[in-house]
Amino acid sequence: MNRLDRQSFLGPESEHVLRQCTVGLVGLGGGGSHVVQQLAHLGVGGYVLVDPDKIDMTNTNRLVGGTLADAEAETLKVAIAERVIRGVQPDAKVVSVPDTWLAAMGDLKVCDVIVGAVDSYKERDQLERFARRHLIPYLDIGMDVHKLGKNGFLISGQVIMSMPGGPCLRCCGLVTEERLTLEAQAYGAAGGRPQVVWPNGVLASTAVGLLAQIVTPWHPKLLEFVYLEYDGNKGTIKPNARMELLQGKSCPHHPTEEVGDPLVRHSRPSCQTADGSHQQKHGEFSADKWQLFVEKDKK
Amino acid sequence: MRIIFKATAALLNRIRADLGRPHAFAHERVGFIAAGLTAAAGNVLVLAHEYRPVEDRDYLPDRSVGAMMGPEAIRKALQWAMRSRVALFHVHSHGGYGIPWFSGVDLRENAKFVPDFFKVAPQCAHGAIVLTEDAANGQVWLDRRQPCRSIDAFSVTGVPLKKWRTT
Amino acid sequence: MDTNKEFLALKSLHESAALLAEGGNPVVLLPDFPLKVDDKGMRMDLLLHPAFHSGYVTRLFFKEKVDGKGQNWTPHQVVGRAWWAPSWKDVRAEQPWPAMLCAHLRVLI
Repeated sequence: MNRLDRQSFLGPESEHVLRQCTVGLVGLGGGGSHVVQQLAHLGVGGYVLVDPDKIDMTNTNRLVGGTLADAEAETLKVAIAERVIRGVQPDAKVVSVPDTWLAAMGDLKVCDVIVGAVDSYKERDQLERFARRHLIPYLDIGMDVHKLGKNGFLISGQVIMSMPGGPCLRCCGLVTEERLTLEAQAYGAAGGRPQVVWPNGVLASTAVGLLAQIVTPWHPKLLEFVYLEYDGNKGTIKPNARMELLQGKSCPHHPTEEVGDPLVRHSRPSCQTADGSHQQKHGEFSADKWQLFVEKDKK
Repeated sequence: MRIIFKATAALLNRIRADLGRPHAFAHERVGFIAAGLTAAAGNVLVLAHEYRPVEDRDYLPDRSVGAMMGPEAIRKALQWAMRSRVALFHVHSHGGYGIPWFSGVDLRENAKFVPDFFKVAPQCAHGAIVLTEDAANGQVWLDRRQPCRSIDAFSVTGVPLKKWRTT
Repeated sequence: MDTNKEFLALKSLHESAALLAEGGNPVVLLPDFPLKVDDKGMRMDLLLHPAFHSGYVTRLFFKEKVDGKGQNWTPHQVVGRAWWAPSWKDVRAEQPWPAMLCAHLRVLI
């Protein structure tokens, strides 16, 4: 008996495909921790886990896998995520980066999908741009609690599937220059935003379902662009109006030629002269130079 | 060091549709793919972003091969590589399904003209891709003077995602 | 603004300048740019973004943080690489790029 037998409807090759899949998870708090747990149960074989933070007591209301002992010990969130993964996928390939995602770019570039569960618009915007530059599908999840004055609070959130070439977070109106400006002006004053476990669960589960469709679809009517909005007061998750309007449209914010590392095209390999100094030489990137370039990127 | 070629499903579909069009006398059609490059975790990623077909008038009649590009086709490709500083990959299709392999003629012809792209875009890598309806294979030159390498793996970004290894 | 003219003006100051693009906007890489910080010379890659970015009307990115200069340095991903930028507001987009670069570099004074 195989532990994944009950999901065989995902296809005869699904177990192999999921095991060969590598998912980058940026943000392992309330949303990301749910995603990690589900991907592990699903049988995803490769992970790049990125989060600079340690768990604290206020995270234990929502960080899946995090215990009170972890909060006492100030365990790294990436360590908690790895432990959750290995509980059901002991042979998973896990790269854990307890730092910002900018320190993990080399590993993220080879992911099949990147999931962003980050707090800021700036992070989402730049992470999505990074994913586009490397032709990687990007799934974004986020939730908010809004005060409605005397009428209490509204819990809301979104799940967006952003595919290279298709509509992006800016096309969706989620990332705007106004929001980026307000965020930059409020630098350092973000504070602890209200967060609870169940909306994160809804959004994370929805994102994992979309990821499964990308990797091992179980029906033929697949969507290339998804923008779902969550209303936690009504208990609904439904397509945003833009999802139908933008379906099949290309994105003006991420020109398709902006892929790869433009610095490669503009770099000039140096050659060492007789006196030991290095001179810039307009020449070719030799196979050895490519090896050096790749090795330098790994560091 | 592995070499991984990535493209969106949309781009590959456009390429296949173009290569499948009949030509007045050429048995096959050919074109060029422009790509960006990056190093990633010990690998080189080739990231395809644009396709340009060889124009109808730039083929030469030659019954000994599937398609023969004329000098104007090569000149246009060289100009593209030089102006845009892109990695350039010649592409054609064998039709059918499954992972294709370059024919002896393909290998011979690729070795003749691909290294010339280094004269105009020396910082990049250049190569050749061969397609079928559901897969691809490829060669890449990292350096004009050294032998080419096989592309080790392909990844097609779309829904669904597709990946396969060729080495 | 004539992008090519502005880029050539920067290139005349720093020969290895390269014109790149991010989100359809021109971006100028200034590799190994010479800087003077408190009378000490240093060299660093800079990236000038002469259009709106991350809440600022224009932005100058540094390969590394410059200790003791600028405030609120934040990390960014631009043109596929990691950069740092201090909080340095209101450097107008409607000015020649050399002047824009100088205005940004005043953060190091």
